[in-house]
Amino acid sequence: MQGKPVKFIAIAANKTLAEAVQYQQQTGLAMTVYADSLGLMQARYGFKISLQNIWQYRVIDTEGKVAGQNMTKEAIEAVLSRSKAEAKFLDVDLDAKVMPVAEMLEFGQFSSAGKQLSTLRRSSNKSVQQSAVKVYEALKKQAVEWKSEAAGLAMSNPIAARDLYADISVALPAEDVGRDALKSLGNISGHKSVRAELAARAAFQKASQAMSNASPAQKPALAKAFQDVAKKHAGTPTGDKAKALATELQ
Amino acid sequence: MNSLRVIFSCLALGLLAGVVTAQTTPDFPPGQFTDGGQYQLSDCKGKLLVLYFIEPT
Repeated sequence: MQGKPVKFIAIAANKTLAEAVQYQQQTGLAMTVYADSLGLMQARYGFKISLQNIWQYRVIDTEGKVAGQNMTKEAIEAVLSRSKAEAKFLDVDLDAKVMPVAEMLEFGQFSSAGKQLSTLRRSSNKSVQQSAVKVYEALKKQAVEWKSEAAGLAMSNPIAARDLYADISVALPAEDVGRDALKSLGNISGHKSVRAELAARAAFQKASQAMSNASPAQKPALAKAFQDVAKKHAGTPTGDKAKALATELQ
Repeated sequence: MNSLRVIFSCLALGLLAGVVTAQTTPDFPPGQFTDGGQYQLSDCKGKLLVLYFIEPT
């Protein structure tokens, strides 16, 4: 599946981050692992991993719908072909050293991908350098589209516009499009609804810090922390998210 | 006639509820990934995401 627009994520049910890392080191599992220490993710998908149900797969299609429950290559390729998924940065011909960075960009990890891509573009290895330049050019082209999209959203959905400007500015800080996005980011961050949402996100992030290492006994304390976020930041998208999470944790 | 309307309305609402449920794929709760990334379902729009649920022993 390398080079194709498919992301694999393992969910370690009822395990802390440290346990998930240890499992990955022991097994050599090649995909990133989410530490579902409180079992919330499996509950959201409506099952419980146990000795009688030792694994489950879900294939999520381009529209965010569950399109399959099988992880064989044939099953995934069938969904891939049916859903017409398109890669913006990944390409089967990319050098193997550039592939992980293209994958990071493909799946929204712009800050670290942008930094790594800058280094790879200066590689003395011609294959690496050429692949990195190819991805960088695709990123610049995409950033111009995002910037235009953000400008269109600035009035109707300033939070979405702000997020697009933030992505562009961290992915391409040394390019004109990145510098322009940074200026627009500064301007739009003064918008009342954006300020309120950013404050809510900061509080939510703070309350979330203990999640990956929490035990079920800590659920009431976590629920209280998210209730407080919901109360203080009512009316923001993240305030609503905190309210739903507090209910889920109770 | 009125009772038929009520029946059809209920059926339509039921179907609608089913569609909404089928379309709503749950996102990741806040937490950490072993590669240090922060993934959301929205990051995967237009692409495929394969979730592999396990309980490591």
